[in-house]
Amino acid sequence: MTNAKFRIALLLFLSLAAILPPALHADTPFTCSTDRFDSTMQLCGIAALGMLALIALAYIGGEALQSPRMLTWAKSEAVQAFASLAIVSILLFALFALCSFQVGEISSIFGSPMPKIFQNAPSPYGGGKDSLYTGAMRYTENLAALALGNMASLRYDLGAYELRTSFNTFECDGICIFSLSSTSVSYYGGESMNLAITNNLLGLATVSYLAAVFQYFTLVYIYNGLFLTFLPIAIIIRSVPFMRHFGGSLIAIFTVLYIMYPLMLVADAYIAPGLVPSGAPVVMCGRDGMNCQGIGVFSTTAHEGAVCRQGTDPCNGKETEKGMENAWQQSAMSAISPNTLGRAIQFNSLMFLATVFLPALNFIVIAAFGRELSRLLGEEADMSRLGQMI
Amino acid sequence: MSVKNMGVKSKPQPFRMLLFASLALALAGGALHAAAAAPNYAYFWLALLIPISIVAAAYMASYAFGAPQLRAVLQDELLQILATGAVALTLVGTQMVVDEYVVATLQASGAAAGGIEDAMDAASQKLSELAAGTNAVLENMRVVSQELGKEASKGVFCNFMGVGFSLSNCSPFNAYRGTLTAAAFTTTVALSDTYAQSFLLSLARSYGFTVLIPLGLLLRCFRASRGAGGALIAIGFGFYTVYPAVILATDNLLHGSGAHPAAPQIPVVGKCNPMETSVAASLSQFTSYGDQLTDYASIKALSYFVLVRVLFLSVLNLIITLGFIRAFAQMIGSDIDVSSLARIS
Repeated sequence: MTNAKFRIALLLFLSLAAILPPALHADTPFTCSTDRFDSTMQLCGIAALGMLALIALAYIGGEALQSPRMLTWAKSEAVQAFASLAIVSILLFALFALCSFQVGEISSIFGSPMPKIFQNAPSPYGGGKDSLYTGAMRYTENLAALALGNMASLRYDLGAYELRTSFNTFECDGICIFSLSSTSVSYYGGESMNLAITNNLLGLATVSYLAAVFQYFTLVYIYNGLFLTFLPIAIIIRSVPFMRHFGGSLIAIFTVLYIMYPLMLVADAYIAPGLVPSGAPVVMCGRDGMNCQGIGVFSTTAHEGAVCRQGTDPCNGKETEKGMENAWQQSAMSAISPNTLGRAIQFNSLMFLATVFLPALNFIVIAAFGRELSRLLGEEADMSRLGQMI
Repeated sequence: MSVKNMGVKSKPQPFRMLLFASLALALAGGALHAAAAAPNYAYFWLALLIPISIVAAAYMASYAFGAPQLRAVLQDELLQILATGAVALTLVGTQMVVDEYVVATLQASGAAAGGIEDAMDAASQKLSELAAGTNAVLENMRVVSQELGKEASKGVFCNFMGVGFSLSNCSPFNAYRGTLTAAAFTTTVALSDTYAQSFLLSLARSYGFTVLIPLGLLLRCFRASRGAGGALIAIGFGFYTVYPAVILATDNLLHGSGAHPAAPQIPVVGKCNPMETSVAASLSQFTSYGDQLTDYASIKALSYFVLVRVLFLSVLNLIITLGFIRAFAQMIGSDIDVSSLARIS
């Protein structure tokens, strides 16, 4: 190793030595404190030690056999082993730092009001004390719950339209008492158009729900499997001389998904309320009896982007589908009246943007970051296909 | 110090620097005369000062540890930070010039009376008008469909001495309901698009220049996150500045200087008498309503409003904006794939 290289390596390790202790002493909630995470670190350590032992053996062999090729190989691999160790150290530092980072701190950095889902999170995470990882999970959970509530709302509307369109009255004009003759009319028969449109909206809502659930399970997989299992493998692959570039790319991919994906979801949690102009909240008619769980996704402490209404003005109708039981009189047809089309369309547009459009943007940024990082660590990896999953 | 000595390896970088510097200078002049803008530019300086501080600290450390190679890398990074600064200046200048131009144009045409201060306000107002218009069309269709369904369902049932018969001479009106539902589908999509555009504008207004672009500038200053930073800058600028301008431009270009034709009201069907036994009378009522529904002028105006002005333009606006985002991201050193977003549009 040349003098300059040694100095750069020394500078790097001194910097890491300075910043690692405070990071390691930070609070470690959720993913950060699991045993599996510890085992990941152990595996990384074993991989590095194994590689160093191999290099040491090669060096000893080179000295014993007086083989300059073996000695040169051992020296160059020693530099790469230290590079791998440096990468692992930086990654661990970043992870511990992100574990100690609280989502509420974004409010103070950017001066943005805190999303209600973080503000009103259960103890001990209330007031923005979620870590990056619990914060991302909280956002996807709330988004998926709201998407499901939206489907329940549309399902109620469909049920109400079905009942109303099939409602038929025989109008007795006086002589029917004697002759059983009358005229018949379906007052709400024309709502079959609303029925068809609401059916379409339910299709859109299903796509939104599936996209939200897809993000939720992707996050679960990233937390539980991807990084913890595959990162050590990637580090081992990077230690193998001929697989170095491939291993570097794998490290980049896993790192991007483990760090950038939750980060972008927390960013979404902050910017989703901004989708709705201030002073004009979007109304969702809650019909699942769960108070539109997740409606806080579109609200902050300073701005209410979406509100939940249940069986009251302007939603009318019943609170849940169960309220539609025994609806057979004409007065009952008015009592079960569904949400207006315009309002349902507006809320579904909002849900589509939050569940499909924003994640598509996320993956564009993630792919761009991943490409640069993989180029830096090994060979370029094209991650743009990830976005097309959405 | 020459550019070559600063560690620049590829040729396009100095060219980009020159391009941005000249653009920034040209636009800064206009920016100085522009109206006060809403975005908080303090974050811009913060986003640039942080990497400059890091590079400066690392530069000093390179002397302390005697690492000249590190210095060359840091000089290259400093050049990138300067380029990022030029990008920031260009964005701010362009935004101010666009706002000034739009407000001046609207004031000249007498359309800025509603408290419009920038292009974003003007585009939001335009979308609100379109949403209200589309909502009115859909509501009109709902009322027409409701009445049509009611009238078409009317029938008579008679029973005399155990012999009964039913008469449904209003049922031919059902023939129009399918077409009306298809038209309502299209209007629903148009209304969804208009709301989606409004939400996107609101998002850009809230976070374009306060979060997305400053964060992008910060990320662009570091080698590993340069691509992500470029993408964020392009997305933020594309939706904050280009999108409102495109919305206004396409809508105004569609019909020149004249007023857009108003969306017509679809006529509501008249009362159908279920006791009417004359086939000729029923047929006459049926064809008469059909003639009203298929009136050329009404259909033309309705198609123009829903299909062209709302639906087609919403797709066009998004495609143009995404095209700009992709090209601009490439220009500032980030190769992003916006095909997934284009598919959504």
